Amino acid sequence: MLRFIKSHLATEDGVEFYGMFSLMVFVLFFAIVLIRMVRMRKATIEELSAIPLSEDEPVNNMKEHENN
Amino acid sequence: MEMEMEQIKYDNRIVKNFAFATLTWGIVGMLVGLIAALELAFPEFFNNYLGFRYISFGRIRPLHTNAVIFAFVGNGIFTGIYYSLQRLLKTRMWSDKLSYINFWGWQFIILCAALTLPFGITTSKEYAELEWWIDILIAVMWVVFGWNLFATILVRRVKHLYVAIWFYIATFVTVAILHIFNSFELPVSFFKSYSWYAGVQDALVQWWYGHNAVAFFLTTPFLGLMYYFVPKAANRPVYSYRLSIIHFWALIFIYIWAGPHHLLYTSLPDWAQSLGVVFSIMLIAPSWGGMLNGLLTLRGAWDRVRDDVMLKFMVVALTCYGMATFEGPLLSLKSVNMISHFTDWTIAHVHVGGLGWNGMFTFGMIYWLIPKLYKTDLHSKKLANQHFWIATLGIILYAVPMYIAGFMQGLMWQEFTESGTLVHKDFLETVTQMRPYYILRSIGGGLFIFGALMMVYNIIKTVRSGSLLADETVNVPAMATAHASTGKEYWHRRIEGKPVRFMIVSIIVVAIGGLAEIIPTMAVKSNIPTISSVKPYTPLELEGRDLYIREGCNNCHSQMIRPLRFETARYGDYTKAGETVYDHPFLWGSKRTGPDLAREGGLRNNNWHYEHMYRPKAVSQNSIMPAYTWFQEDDLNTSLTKDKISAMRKIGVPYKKGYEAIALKDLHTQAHIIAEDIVVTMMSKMPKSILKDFNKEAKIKELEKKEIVALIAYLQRLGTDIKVKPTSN
Repeated sequence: MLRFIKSHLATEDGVEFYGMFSLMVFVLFFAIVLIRMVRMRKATIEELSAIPLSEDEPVNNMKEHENN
Repeated sequence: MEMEMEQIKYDNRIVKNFAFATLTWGIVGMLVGLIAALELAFPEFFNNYLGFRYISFGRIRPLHTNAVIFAFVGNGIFTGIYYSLQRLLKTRMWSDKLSYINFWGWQFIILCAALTLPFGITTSKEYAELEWWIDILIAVMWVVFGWNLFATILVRRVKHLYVAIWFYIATFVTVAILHIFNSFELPVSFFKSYSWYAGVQDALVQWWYGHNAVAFFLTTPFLGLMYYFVPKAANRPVYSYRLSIIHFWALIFIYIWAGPHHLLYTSLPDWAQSLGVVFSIMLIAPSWGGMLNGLLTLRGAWDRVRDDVMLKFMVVALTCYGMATFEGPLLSLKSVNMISHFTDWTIAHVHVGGLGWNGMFTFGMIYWLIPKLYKTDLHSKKLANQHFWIATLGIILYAVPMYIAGFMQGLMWQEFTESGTLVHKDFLETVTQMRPYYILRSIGGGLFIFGALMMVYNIIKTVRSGSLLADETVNVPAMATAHASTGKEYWHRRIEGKPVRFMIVSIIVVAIGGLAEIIPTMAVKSNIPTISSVKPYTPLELEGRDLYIREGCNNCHSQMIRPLRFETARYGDYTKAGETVYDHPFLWGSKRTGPDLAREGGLRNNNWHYEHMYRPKAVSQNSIMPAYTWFQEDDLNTSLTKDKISAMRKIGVPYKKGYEAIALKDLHTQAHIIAEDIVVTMMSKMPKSILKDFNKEAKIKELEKKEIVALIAYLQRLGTDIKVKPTSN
């Protein structure tokens, strides 16, 4: 397969296209992430960021000295 | 609405196992690092009293890097993930069996590393030195980990995946890709393989891997852990969840491109170098986004930092992360890299990251976890506090001298007199001046280890005062209610809600950068002007090259002369890409503790090398190079020579068909010529009284079998291909 694209890479121009294309993909992707992030609801954000803070109801994890 | 509850058990034993392994290997890995540091600070002592091969610098430097990265940090990652994943998903790990296969398998791999690297069984590729069958084991264990991770995510009791878990997924996916692609190698025997790629291609794949091992083994998993443990310890949500989303996607997208900044001014094509620089500069944004998000989570809670030792460790860790990720882009600017590359500046940089970010974070996390796992309080907060200050001081004492050393040496290499000659023509002059800094660095590292030992004591006392809560029983909302719909769905939640889709998007994001670099790499031959005078190594040179790899010479000597005036004035013509087309693996190196060897061939006579290897100090008075006495004592093992030739042909080196049949004969002929030359020179220096009874033929016969002859053959070949006139065509 590689030999079909080789000719594009043999010259400086072909290679420059590679870099430009990739940069454009990144800018586009970044813009999409940015726009959609800004449009997220505040309530959702709060719900998501609270996930690690939710404590499970303990059954057996009291400290030894607290048991007495 | 009444929520239906369900009783489940979290597996704490696996977390405890990984935590203990983290501390054990941490101490071992750091001690090996200290020995390596002391070898540079006190070379005489190590040469005169401890000069045995298994701890020579070239062999234990890879042991140190592998131990701290994969054993210390690796087990630390598993510790944090196995703890946080269960709680973030309100689910026990999907399979206990897989958890423990992951644990014991990983420790077995570490043991294999410890039992191969000191014996010179190495591929020489940085942070990927382990031989082919260990590479396969690593791949298998990584899949076991990923399988368990994904299965747990799929059976979770919560709807959403918290940001920490995206980082875990990205870590799993990318490390798998990196490891597999960089480990393509052709086995010659159980203990020997050759990299599938050669020269420039090998270098690009290696640093695409090497750089992203830093990104996806030392950074993304820790950012995931940061997003869990910092909010948890501070008891407040992360500063900005929005920032975490943007920071995640930007980070994984950009990081994968930055590898070529390790190869600036080398024979790598310019376009690839430029691409690496651009993306390295961009990287500062998501990196600092992550750091600030972590630090700002503590806003309004700084009083806690004063009292909570775990948070102190986290704050220093995040600060070091910020410093290292600010410095990284700077180092990838060509003008800065010109000074920093090949010097101790790089060593300072990685230790701010390693000791500061990974080390301090891991310490903080374990101080927080162990009392919870053992249902008790930390034995001594005071001791932990002292550990914190000693470790911080250790980092400063390590990094500052190395910055000075690197900067000084980098500038000394560039210094010209008014008449246009190098001020420090003798490389050794610049090494001798590093000594005070090497001593200070050893003290800094020693302090860091002392702190870690205090921690081990503290943890042992803590463990003894409690009892392990192997299965932590908790009440959590039952499966059915947890999955109930909550109304309008958001795009990112849709992806999060579908972990498999999330994984695929991550793979694509990472693959764009990976492919854009790797595909041109595979086709890069068309970019390398072929040099017709560059020929494959002779069998003896090939064996010599393998000795060079066995001893890890590439850990201190580069083979890459950059096209810069101060480089070519010192070492000769710059290295062309076409010169390394038969180098499986490439041996460009990344650090010059000794001089570059790319044009070593023909610079000195055979006898110089013969004496220098046996006792470097006898030839260069201030040399800090280890004495390689065993090269003169041990016979060269030629049992694999034929197989090596066949293997090389398979991966593209144009040895003639059937050359194996005469390879050994060629080897012996060349060895005889070199041995004879050495003996004749030796005799010319002998007093007549000894010369009278000297048996020349017997000495040649003895010498031509030794390893030293093969090594000299290789060294004398280096860079000579383009010195000879190209043959017609």
